[in-house]
Amino acid sequence: MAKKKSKSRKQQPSMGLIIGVAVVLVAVLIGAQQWWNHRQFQNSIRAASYYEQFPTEGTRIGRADAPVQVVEYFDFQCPHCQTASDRIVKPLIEQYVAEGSVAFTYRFFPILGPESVLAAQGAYCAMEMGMFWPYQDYLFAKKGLGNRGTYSRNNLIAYAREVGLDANAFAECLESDRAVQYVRAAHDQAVRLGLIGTPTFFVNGQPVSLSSWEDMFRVVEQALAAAGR
Amino acid sequence: MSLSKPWRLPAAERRTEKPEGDAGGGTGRRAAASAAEAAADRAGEARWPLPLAGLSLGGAGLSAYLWQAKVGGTELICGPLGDCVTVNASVFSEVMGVPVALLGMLMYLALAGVLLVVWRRPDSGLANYGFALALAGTLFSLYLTGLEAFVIGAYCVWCLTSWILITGITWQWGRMLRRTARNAH
Repeated sequence: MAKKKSKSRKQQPSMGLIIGVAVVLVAVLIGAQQWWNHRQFQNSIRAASYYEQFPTEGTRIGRADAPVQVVEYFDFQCPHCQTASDRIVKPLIEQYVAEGSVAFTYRFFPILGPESVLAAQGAYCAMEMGMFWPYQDYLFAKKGLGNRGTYSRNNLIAYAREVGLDANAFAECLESDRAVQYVRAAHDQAVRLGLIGTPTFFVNGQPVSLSSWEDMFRVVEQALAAAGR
Repeated sequence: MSLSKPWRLPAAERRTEKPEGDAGGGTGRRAAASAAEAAADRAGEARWPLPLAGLSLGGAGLSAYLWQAKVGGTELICGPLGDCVTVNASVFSEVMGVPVALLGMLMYLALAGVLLVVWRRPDSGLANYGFALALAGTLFSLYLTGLEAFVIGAYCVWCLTSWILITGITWQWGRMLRRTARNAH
């Protein structure tokens, strides 16, 4: 009986081993998290350097004298704007802005609640600090919807830090009147134009009605042809 | 007296019924009572995994809620305490793209499964491995709480609840393992 007991005790791992396994498991998890976050940070830096190859000014990317000027009124929380960022804006930059034939400009039209306004103010601050393009890319990648905290003040500051901005200067800007005024003015301008939704595109000043994302490229090609390019 | 159906005095009576002289058959009765108590203790011991399994399922539900909120399936209600939305959206709410809340839910479900097996088959040897997982959950939860306090600068009331829950489960689990080990000696 005693033999049996001692045998069964032998089969059980010791408390030291149990604690060791738990500590190793946690160390692996923490290590994986830190490594992944560091990798994401490096990707953000790479994204920032990606936009450095293009001429940018404020929320415009591309040459100011490009024959085709595309403008999008947008809201960071609008799901179609998030899709358009991947399906229209990025391909436009790759195909047309890179060769100098198109310039693309984002205009703020925050209509979907307080976090839309905050995100636009954050993007304004990034613009002021010369990092609008990587920052907007990061905000769109977060795909925040419905004022659920994705674009909360704290998160916007954290995202700014992650794309390499000075978090303190960014936070100061986010609180400032100039950020509020800029976004309010952009919103009012869109309202004066009679816009009622996002995304709304203009090509060379003409509103574009899209029934599919591909329509945008047809309109741009037509505008280029009209400009003799 | 049959030990298969032990009788037990209420605790208060047991405390007061101290022997004042052994009048005919008293020793036998005390031995029987003591054996019955030991049997009842063993029965109580055998049932310890059940409440912990219940708590683990509660933890799984809590983590499932945080996970759904993280992926946009439901709205996260934080109440007046802390800022759980900020915590749940921070870069620390994921491990290699997998939401921490999902990992938490899987851990709680695994713990509940192990506890149920341990309840049905106490000699399965799974109790120690389950305890190692619960301890890992407690330590990782402690790390996340430290991040809330010192890095993120915001508290998540649901995450703190989960931390308390897993700490309680681990504490009780450890106590029962020690007691079982003591009894085995």
